[in-house]
Order: sequence, then C-alpha cells, then structure tokens
Amino acid sequence: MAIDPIPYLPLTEPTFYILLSLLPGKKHGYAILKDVKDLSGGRIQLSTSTLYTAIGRLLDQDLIARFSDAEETVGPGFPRKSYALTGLGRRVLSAETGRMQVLVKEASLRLRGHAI
Amino acid sequence: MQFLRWFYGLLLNLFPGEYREGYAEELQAVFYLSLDAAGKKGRWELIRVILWELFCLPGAIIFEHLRERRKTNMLRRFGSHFNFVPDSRSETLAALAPFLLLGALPTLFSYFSKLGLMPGWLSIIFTLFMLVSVVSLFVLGFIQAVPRWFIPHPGLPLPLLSVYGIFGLISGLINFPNHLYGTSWFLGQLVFQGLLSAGMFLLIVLLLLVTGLIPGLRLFYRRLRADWTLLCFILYGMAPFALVFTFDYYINEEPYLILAFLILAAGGWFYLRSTVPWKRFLALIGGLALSMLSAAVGKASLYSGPWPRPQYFTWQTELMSTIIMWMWLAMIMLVPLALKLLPPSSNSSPATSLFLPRSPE
Repeated sequence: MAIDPIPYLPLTEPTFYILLSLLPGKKHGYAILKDVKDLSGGRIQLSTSTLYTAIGRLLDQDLIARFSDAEETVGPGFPRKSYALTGLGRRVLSAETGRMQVLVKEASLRLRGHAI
Repeated sequence: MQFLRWFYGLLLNLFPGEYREGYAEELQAVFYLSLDAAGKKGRWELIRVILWELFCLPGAIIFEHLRERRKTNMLRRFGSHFNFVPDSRSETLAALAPFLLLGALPTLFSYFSKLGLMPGWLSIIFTLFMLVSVVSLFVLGFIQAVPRWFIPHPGLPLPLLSVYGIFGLISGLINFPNHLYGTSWFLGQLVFQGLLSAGMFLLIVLLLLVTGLIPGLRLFYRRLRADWTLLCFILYGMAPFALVFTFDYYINEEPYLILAFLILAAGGWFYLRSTVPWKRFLALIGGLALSMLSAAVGKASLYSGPWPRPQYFTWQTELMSTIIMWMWLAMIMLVPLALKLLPPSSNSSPATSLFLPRSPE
C-alpha cells in the first residue's frame, strides 16, 4: 500500500527545493547545491554540511535514495554517490505543491477583496 | 587552499563516526568543488563561501550527533526486548519455541480439553496465543537479522513448501510407481517418502544459492559456511511438522506426540549448550532419532485403537513408515556436511558465526 504523503507536510523551503532539484533525475551533491541556488533565484544557498544534513534526513524518511556511481561515469573530484527521488518523495513533492497552490489561491482571493 | 582543505577534513572528524564513514568523502568533494567555483568568481566570493561553510558546520555537527543518539536509542528500545543474553532462559525458550509453543503445549491443551480438564474454548485461545507468539518471533527474528535463537524457526515452513509445493508439482508431472508396493511394501514406502522429501533437498540448494548470490543475504551465507551445524539446526525445525504428519488420522496420540516434541526440545537445548560442532550435530541427530522412535512406538501401540486405518495397514507398517521418515530426515540433515567440502568462502571468518557469544546491547 502506498504511504500517505500528508504527514510529511509542510516541507521546509530547502527541503522542497532539494526534492524539486531531483525531480528530473539522479544528481550528485554538488549538482543539487547549484540547482537549489538557481531554482530559488539565489535566495537559498545551502552550505555543504547543511545539504548533507538534509540529505541524511530525506534518506531516513525514504523520500530520496542513494546510488553508487561507477568511477568512470563521474568527473574527477566529483562525489561518487548520487541521489534520486523515490516514489514517496515524488508524491510528497506533489502534495506539497498542491498544498501551496491552495494557500496561494485562498490568499489571492482574500487579497483581491482587500485591494490596497 | 591546501590548508583549507586539510582544515575542513580535520573538522569533519567532529561528526559522528557512522556519519563520517558514510558522507565525509562526499562532503569533502562538494566542499572542494564549491571552493573551486567560488575561486573562479573572485577573492570575495571565495571568502564568503568559506565563512558560510564554517558558520554552518557546527550546527550540522550538533544535529548529526543528536540524530545519531536518537537512532541508537530507538534501536535499543525496540531491539532490547528480543536481544537475549546468550544461554539465558529467554534465549533458550525463544529458540525452542517451535517445539514447545507450537508443538508440546498446544497438544497438551488439546489433550486436557479432550479429557475434560480444560474447556475447549480455553484450549483454542491458548493455542491461538501460542501460534501468534511463534509467528511474532518469526517476524522479529527476520527483523533482528537472524539471531541465534531464530535459527530453527525458518525450518518450520520448509516441509510445507516441500510437501505441498514441490511434491505436488512432482506428482503432477510423474505417476507414482505403485507397482513397487507390489514388489515390496518397504521399497514402495521408501520411494514414496523419498519423493516427499525430495523438495527439502531442492530447498536447501535454493537457500544456499539465494543467500550466496543476493548481496544483502551474503552475510547469512557466510554464517552458514562458517558453522555448518547452523543449517542442520534450521532443518531440525522441520521435525514438528514431520511428527504431526506421521500421526495423521490417529486418535489419542497426544501423550506420544508431547513426548516426541519434548525430546526435540531437549535435542535443541543440548545443541545450544554445546560449543563443539560435532557434539551439536549429534545432539540434533540424537534428538530427531529419539523423537521419531517415540512416535514410531506410539503408532505401533495405538494401532489397535479406534482410528480409521486402511485394511492393508499393520502395526509393523506403521512402525516402519515412521522409521523410514526418520531415515530421510536424517539424510536431509546430513546435507549441510557437504558445506565442509566446498572451497572456503572468500570472506568467511569465525567472526561471522552466529555461535560466537553476542553481548546484549
């Protein structure tokens, strides 16, 4: 039976961006770091240690999975482990996006009624 | 730059050991790549990145230590109840559960109920409780990565797979040579029970292949290779099924069945208490032989009693059918000896044996 994604919500902003960064496919740590910065328009700049703390937590929660890459498939100096979204991670990301859409919709309606 | 790399590597030692083993290499690689990228953007960007990394590091170290402690506490809380002290009473009872909780006690309750010493519903409740206990121990044994007390438990379902799965398949493919019974009853029975047991040989080979080839199960394979008597103990777990099977259709067989289960438990007890492989093996073979013998004698003595026996059955055939069953079971339990003939496992070491005393957490 599929695990309900609702108890994992709400996500913190860095967690949301990490999951979003892994949506297209597997990435290693440094690529996630850069992608999170780009996706957030430079607002969120994770340090290496913060990134791996988040990765450790997401692995514990089974939202992402860790893969060992063959040495020849990664560039010199690049980490030999990569990460990918699990099915649960994908559902949590989708549920969080839905939750935020509802928030935005409700807030927009109210704001329109009280136009500044 | 070299100094910074060295310094960052030094700081990583402040993370918990397990975390360091898993992530230190990656942290270093990502840190170096971040420095390289920042260096290309200029000195100020490089300084900003270094300060940011050093600022975030203490928080991450504290967080990981807290998480490590939380994980250890959770594991300890869950595991401590079933991480029995070697040779303790709890460990012995858990190991002998297939013979006592699933064998002797439910049979005893059923007998008490038959004699009017216990209400039938109470006997059913007790039996269900025993069944649930054994199933729970079965699940816990797997979760706890096959501790010593769990070893005879996987033997319980093996005969069911063999008789109802593989024998069912064999009998669907080939016709049993009934003419053998015309030649000699002994020969017919020997071949029939051999076919019943054939599945067990296949299952042993399958078990070794699966544990040897699947990476996640290789540790268990190495344990089997390091101590061949473990496989014997697993196979010893099939004996309760054989006993129930041999008394099929009998009435008032309970005293003999209880005695046979208790003998099996005694064999298991001697096995757990012994440290010499041959003594352990003899404890199992002896337990099985005496248990089956008591069943054979029980069948022969109950033969004249009220049970729906076919006409061609005699007390001699009843006695012999159980002895033939014992012969096949004993042959199956000899198979693990072949493990000694195989070349040594590449990573096998005595440390992988389940029979080294495990200290409780």
